[in-house]
Amino acid sequence: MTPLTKPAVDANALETTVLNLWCEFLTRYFDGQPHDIGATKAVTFPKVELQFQQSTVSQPLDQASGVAITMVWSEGDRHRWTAWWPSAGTRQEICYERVAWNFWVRSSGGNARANGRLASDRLSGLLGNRAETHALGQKGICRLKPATPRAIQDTDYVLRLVTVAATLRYPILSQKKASKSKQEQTSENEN
Amino acid sequence: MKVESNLQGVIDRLKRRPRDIRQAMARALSPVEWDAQLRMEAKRTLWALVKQPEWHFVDPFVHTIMVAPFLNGFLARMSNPMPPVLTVEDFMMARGLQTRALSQGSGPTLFSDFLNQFDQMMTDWVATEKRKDKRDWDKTDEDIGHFVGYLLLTSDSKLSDKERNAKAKLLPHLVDYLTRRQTEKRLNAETINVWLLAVLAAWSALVRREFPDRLRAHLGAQRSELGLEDKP
Repeated sequence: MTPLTKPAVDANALETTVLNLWCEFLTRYFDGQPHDIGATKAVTFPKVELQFQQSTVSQPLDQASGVAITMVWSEGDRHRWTAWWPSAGTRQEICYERVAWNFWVRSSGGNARANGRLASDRLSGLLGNRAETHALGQKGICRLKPATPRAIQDTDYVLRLVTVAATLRYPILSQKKASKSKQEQTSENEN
Repeated sequence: MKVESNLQGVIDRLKRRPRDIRQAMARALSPVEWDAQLRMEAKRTLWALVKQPEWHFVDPFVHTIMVAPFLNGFLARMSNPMPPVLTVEDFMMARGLQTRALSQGSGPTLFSDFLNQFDQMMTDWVATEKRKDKRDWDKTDEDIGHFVGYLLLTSDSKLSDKERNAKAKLLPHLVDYLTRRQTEKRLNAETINVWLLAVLAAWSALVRREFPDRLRAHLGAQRSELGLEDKP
């Protein structure tokens, strides 16, 4: 597992940081190359076009990559709870937030049905593999629970849905970094 | 030694339990709680699926969403907002009913809009597609459109032989034009079907995910109302 390079989930840029992390994570895999998934060696992933929220997929899709995945933040109660925990050098309020995303997998052109099925299966499998999703967890996207892909339309226009529930974990940086304790100051003076 | 039993308390509480669950379920499935979320979920889903030229169709679809009480829960539906394609027979019926209503002293009827649209379409056809000849030179497009509309919506038995022949020649062109006009700038049936199914799938996932939490929250609220919180 290679750690992600994008900034962790941030309370002041929640949507942006989460989408950036997802973009980096998914782009690593869906590039048409084989990747190790946990203990399984060389699983071939299709090359897909990734889109987020309202962004529109290239048209005609079959002349682009042929498969597109659009990630949409699902509407829900977004149940939140907080706890105090050390972060950034002092005790901070850590927020946990239950969220869900809908991944719409679309494919078109020759072999569309098989490509759509493969992409949605790979997505569901990848997100269900803790060894791989650990990289997301380190950045604050934890406890991923992908649902089995659902075929919405399986004729000319192939559309599948993979729903993923997760918990976001991010600090609410409300406290300034703690000033040095008297003991630390004394030891610095002695040095 | 005094032996005390809390058995009666336990029995009372167990008796209340089914009623509590029913009440909590009714509250958790109240349409008011779901309406806004289901609308937003539909909007997000459609935004993700539409192509650029289809953006303006999203709001009409979302406006058709209806969330209402149904049995012990709620019913949510989104339907196709596109009006049905009207045939010549539909316009004939509308004209007949309109004429009868007007003869009985009625003002504008429900059909007035349809018939105005029909008259406009006839005028447009004359302006854009009719091959005009010397008989048309001294008439305006509106006059010709009005006459063509009269031919089309009047039954054959009330027309003269000459008018019947003219109608027979014009009919295929006009039927084709009316269908084209009513179906242009519309979504095709397959796209509408995909959109409706996609929103249904998103709703289903949302309700399955959210309902247990809501039920738990309402049960918790009821327990606190009754002073039955579980002691740690």
